[in-house]
Amino acid sequence: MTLLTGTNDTRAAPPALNNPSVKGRQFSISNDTVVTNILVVALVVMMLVFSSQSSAFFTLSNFEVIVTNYAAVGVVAAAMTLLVISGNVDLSVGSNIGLSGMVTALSITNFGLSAGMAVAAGIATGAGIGVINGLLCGVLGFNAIIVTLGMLALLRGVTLLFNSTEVYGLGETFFWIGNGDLLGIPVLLWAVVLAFGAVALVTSTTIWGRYIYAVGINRQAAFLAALPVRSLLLSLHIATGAAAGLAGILLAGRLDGASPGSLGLQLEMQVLTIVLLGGVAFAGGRGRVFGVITAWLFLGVLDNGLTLLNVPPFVQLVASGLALVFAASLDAFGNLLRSRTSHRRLVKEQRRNANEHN
Amino acid sequence: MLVLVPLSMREALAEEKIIAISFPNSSTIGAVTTSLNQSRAKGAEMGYKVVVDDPGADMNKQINTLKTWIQQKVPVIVCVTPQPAVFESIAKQAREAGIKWITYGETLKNQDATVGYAQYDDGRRLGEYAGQWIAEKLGGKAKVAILGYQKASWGQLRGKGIKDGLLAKVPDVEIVAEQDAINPSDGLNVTRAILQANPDVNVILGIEDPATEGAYKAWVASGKDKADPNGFIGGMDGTIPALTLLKDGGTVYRASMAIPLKGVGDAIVTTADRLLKGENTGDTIVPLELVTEGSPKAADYLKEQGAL
Repeated sequence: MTLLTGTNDTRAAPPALNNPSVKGRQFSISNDTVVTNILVVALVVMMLVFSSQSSAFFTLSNFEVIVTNYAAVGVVAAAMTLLVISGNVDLSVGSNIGLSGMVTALSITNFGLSAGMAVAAGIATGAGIGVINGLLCGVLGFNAIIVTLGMLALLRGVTLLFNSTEVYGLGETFFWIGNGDLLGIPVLLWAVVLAFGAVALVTSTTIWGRYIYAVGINRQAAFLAALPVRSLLLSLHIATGAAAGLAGILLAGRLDGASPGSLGLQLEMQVLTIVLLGGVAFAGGRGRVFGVITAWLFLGVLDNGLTLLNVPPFVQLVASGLALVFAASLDAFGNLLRSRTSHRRLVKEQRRNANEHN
Repeated sequence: MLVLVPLSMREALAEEKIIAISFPNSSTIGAVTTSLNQSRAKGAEMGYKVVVDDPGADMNKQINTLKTWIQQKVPVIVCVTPQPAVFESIAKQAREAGIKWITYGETLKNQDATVGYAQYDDGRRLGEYAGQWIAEKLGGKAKVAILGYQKASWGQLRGKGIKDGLLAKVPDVEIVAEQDAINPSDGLNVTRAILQANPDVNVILGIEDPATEGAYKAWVASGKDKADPNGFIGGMDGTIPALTLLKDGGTVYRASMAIPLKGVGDAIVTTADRLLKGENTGDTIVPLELVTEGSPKAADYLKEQGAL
């Protein structure tokens, strides 16, 4: 495990992978907490501003609007969190959503499948795309950015070749998925809560969660430590693909149909923004689900609040851009904190060692 | 790469009778796809190969493709110009290379013809119809949300037309929200937020039917009566879902400015053909047609799109 916790690597792994010394662990948690808390503070401040400007903002029904508007994005962001922590990325999710949603819609309208079978077909399509990405990037080691960017264009083209016009009229079950509730809670919210819950469970309680961080910190070292690197990356790509498939179903349910050109369009950028804003390092090896959930809420609230206040679209573009810059500075700030504390700890240890020798 | 293509090959390409159409976001709007498919069919009938490029919202990518076509010396370029001024210089380059330039839905200084719609006028007609409806049904008072698209000049023109037409008929209406939405997802998300801030919004007008289709879903999802006699949703383009709602009637979706899709598709090819034959075609403006709730025209347009 020394390979994973070496002091030369300033990226903070979860507590279980950190330097076993209590002091070291305290430093790491403290830094991550600081970074996450900056976002929480920003979220709270933003909510206070919107609340003071619009009486419609701080209501239960508006909270429902925020989470349901952003549910599909949240489901993909949850799965993408694990993939980015492992040092990979999937930029094809937007087009994956489009193709999976279209397959789901056509399964109902053209192929006459039951709603359950259509849902299965949509998720299987997404997962199938994940298999291709996983084999190319995780097993064969191709560059994930290039491969998945290629898949982004390829899948959108395939969707349009498959069916170039809108498909609509998916029936009651899909209306329930997109607009209904289960035990008084919107189905879309269930989906996103389960997605984030599953990811939190994997990262915090399973050995696979530790492997993901390990691969993200140093893939070569993880391989030499006999960790199942290839199968892990393949699984993560499949999970991300399946999540995109599920998101396609959720969006098709909300819209009662699928539009081949626009369903899921540019959603990959929203997902990536959420993951990075949430403190997950693009290079891998660092990140927490709580941070990603906070970022998901942050962007949802920002989008909702600006619309509630009827802020002109151009100003909204500026605000979204600033959020990205904020994400980048947060990441840089986190790295700065980590390198400083790591350096101080090293100096202290050297002094202690020198004193012991004397 | 094209520079490396031998001159004889380039000449062969020019002789291939290609009509090259640059149409941003064409693949995301079903009605446009239908129109361009008609162009392909009409082109094949008249011995032309119709090539369509969809650069999405990336204007740089669009210009790169246009430059490639100029290098390739295609005989005709038909171009949707999100920001017309930006395209003046490339249109000039194309014409200097002997290529006929047709601007779709806009007018440039450097062009041979315009084909398309009168964006402002068509928007204004929708606004006026909505205003007339508000005057008759609601006594001239309503809370209105407008779903526009400020990022492109055609969107600005349509949006301004809607607003001007509306206010010309009912100056006392309150426009409570003006937001961008061009596809169903955006229309749904934006309208849900608008209805949170203004639950009593009863008129939603959009420059694109896909966006107002999303607005209709938001209307229903927010618990409003889908057949509210005081509600009005209207859009533009005449997409299949919008026309189906209008044909069936009994909902708040009450109007769409439908594009005579096949007419526009044909006009692109026939105008190109006439220009290549040396004729001075002038502009070919195909007016959009107002289709209202329960109108038999809805079924006609659905048939045109192969949906009936």
